[in-house]
Amino acid sequence: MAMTQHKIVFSGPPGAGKTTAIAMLSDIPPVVTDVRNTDAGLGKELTTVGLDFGQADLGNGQCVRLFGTPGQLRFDFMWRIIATDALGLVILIDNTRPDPLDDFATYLDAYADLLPTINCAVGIGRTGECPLPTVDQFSSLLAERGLAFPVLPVDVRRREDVLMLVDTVLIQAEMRT
Amino acid sequence: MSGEATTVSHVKRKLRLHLRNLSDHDLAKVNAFLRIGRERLQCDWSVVFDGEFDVLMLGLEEPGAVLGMTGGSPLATLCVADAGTGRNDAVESLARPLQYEALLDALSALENRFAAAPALHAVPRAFPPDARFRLLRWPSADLLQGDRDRQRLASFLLTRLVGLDELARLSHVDKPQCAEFLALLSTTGTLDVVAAVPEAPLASTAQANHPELDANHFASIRHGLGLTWR
Repeated sequence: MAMTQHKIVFSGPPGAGKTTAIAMLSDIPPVVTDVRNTDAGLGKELTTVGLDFGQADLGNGQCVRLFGTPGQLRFDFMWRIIATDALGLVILIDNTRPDPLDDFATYLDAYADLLPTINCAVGIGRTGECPLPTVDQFSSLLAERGLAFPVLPVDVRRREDVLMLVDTVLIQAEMRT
Repeated sequence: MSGEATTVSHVKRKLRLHLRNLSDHDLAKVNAFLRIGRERLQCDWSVVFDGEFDVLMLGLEEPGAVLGMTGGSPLATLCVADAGTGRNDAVESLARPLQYEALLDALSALENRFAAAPALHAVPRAFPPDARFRLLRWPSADLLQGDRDRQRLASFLLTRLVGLDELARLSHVDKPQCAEFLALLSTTGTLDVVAAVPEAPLASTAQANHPELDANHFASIRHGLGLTWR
């Protein structure tokens, strides 16, 4: 029996938690392409330069393949390639970065032609450490562009938070069938 | 039966603007500006002089005098003072002579602020029995309160029009709870309400490339991922 595969893509700036989010859902140890980080501003030892990959086996010949895009802007040519044909896109934002709204705008621009039809959710991380901008400000940025997606505070170290983002993506997909 | 949806009402939130201590000239200008700018504004603004209100527009000689004399509990206060007088950063200020663009910009800014927060004074409206609903934007965090059911219900309302029965069936959330949430959303001006025949399913790139997807597949994906709260 041919395996049915679904693709969910996690995208966002460096340090937003894409690798961690995939690890929360994957049945296999995530395949990562991390290298030693040379950007002191990121504040982490390793960073992803290719893509992350994980897989959740659903049984009955089905699986969900989880992809993480590289965060650095210089790899933006890969973002849309990876997101093409995806069942859903999860954009993760790190609210402790210098300008999270600008980060968000960068990803909205990068996926501009996909967003009107793709199932998408937005997770704002580390809001406890940095409550501003508020989650509502991210929603307002979407509204200014005529878009409406779930925007949720998220701690990607909590599996249920990541699942909630994925569930809102699945709900949108379900409503389009 | 016609295949076209009949819009009963885009739920324009009603906001009451209480005018106090303004000259007859300013009163006339505000009324005229609201009439002219009605299409530009997202909410249905009406001028009131007594009773409950949402926004207070207060004419002042000194903006700094506004605090402590507003009365009531408005969601926002706009003070009107002569150009060149000191500014009070605690309240929104408009300069005399009142200008159309300045007033509309101020009211639009308030509408955006209110849309991002649950209304404190708005009264939930009754819906037609065949009403279908769709969210125009993601609700405020204050309204969702981190509640999983509310987050899921809002997600069901994002993609297409959906009726109350369908919302309850798909979400597995009790119908009264769905109705309560819809009523709450209706006070924020972010909910489109339509009495209509069902919408045709929306195409998406995801579905175009995944024609095999159906309700069973989604149930299987949720089960496989361990999405068990509903």
